[in-house]
Amino acid sequence: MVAGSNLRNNCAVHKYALDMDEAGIIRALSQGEPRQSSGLTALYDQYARKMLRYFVHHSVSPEDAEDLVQESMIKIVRAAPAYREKGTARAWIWTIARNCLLDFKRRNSVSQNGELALPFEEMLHAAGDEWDPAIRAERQELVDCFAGGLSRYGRDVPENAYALTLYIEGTPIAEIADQIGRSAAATKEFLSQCRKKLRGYIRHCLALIRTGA
Amino acid sequence: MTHPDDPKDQDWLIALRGEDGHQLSDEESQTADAIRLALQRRAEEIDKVVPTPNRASLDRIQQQVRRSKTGPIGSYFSSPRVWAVAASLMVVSVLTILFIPRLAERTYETIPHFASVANIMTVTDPHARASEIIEEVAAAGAPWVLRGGRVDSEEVQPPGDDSADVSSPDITRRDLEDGSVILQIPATESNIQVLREYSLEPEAHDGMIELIIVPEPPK
Repeated sequence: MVAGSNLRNNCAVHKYALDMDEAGIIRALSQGEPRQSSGLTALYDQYARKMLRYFVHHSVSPEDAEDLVQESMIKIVRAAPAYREKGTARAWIWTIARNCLLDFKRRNSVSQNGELALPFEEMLHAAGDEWDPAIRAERQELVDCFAGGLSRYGRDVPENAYALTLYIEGTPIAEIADQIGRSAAATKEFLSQCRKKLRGYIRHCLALIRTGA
Repeated sequence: MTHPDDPKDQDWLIALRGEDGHQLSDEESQTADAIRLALQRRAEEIDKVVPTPNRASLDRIQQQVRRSKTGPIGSYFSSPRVWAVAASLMVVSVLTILFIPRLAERTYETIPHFASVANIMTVTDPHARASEIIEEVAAAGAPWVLRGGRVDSEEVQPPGDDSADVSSPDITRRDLEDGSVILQIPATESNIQVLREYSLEPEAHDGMIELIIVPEPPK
C-alpha cells in the first residue's frame, strides 16, 4: 500500500520534472526542498544524456564524462539563485557544462596532447567492415579516406566536429548555438569555418572523387 | 561563378544534411555526402561508449548536493526558520549591548546579596560536632526548634526540652550525603559566644548564622 503510494508520488514527481522547461528547472533549483530535488531530477532527465555525449565527443573518457556531468549539475544547483534571465536558460546551462569541460582540459593537459583521446581513427577504419555493403563496395577507398580525415579533424578540433555532427543530425541551429556558446548567426558562420578547416583534412580524398573511386 | 572549393555556405550546409535544393556541382555534392557519412559513422562509434544516464547517478548527485550543503544560497534565506534564528540572534545581541554596560556600572554594594555567608568548620566527625554544638546552644538557653535530619526534613526535638517555643527562630540541621552537616543558627549573642569557643568568628546574615561542618579529608 505504502509502496504503491510512493510509486504514485515518484511518478507524479517524474512527470512534473519532465514537464519543466529550462527556466522552470532553474527556478526550482533556486528554491528549497522538495522543489530543488524536482528541479535536479528534471535537469538530469533532460540533460544528462546530452552532456555525456557532449563530453565524450570532446575526447573525454566515459568515466570522466560521468564525473563532469556530476560536477556540472552541482555547479548549476549552486549558481541557480544567481541566474538572471539574460539569454536563454538552456544557453546558461550549457555555458556551465562547457566551462566544466574547459576546466577539465586544463587540469588534464595530457588530453590536449591527444593521449587520452579515443582512438577514433582506428575505430573508424575498423568499422569500415560494418558499412553498408553497397557503399563499401563502391566507395570503400573514398569512405576510408574521409573517415581518416574526420578522425584527425575530430581529434584536433573536437568542437568543430561535434558542431557538424549535431548539424547533420538535424539539431536546430539555436540549440547548437547554445551548446557551443554562440549566437545563431555566429553558429552558421562557425559551421562555415568548420567546413573550411575540414578541407585541409580531406583535400587528398577529393582526388578519389574526381577519379570516380 | 562559384569556386569549386568555395561553394555558397548555405548550399553546402543543405548538401551536408543530405537535403535537396542546393546548387552544388556533383563533385561538391559527393564531397558533402562523404563528409556526412564519415561524420555519422564517427558519431555512431563514439556514441557506443557514451554512458547511459541512470537513477544511481542521479542519486549520487542528489546526495552530494545535500552532503556538501550546496543548496542554493537563496533557499537558505527563503527559509522562515533561518529568519527566525537570525531575528533571535539580533534580539540577544541588542539586549547584550544595552544591559552589559549598565551591569558593569553597578557597585558591589548595589547588587543584592542573595547568598548567605557561610562559616566552614572542618572536623573528623561532623555529625558528632553538629550534635555537640546543638547541645551547647541549648545549654546557652537559646529558644529554638530543631528541624533537621536529612534533606527530607526529619523533625527532631532537643533532648529534655519538650516545651520548646515553636515561634522561636529555628535551628535547621541538614545532614548531607557526603558527610557534611549544615546548621543554621539564630545569630543571638549567646549563640555567637558558643561558636567563638570553637575558634569561629561567625558572620551573620539576616539574623542567621550558617555553619557548614565538613569532614576532614582522609590522610
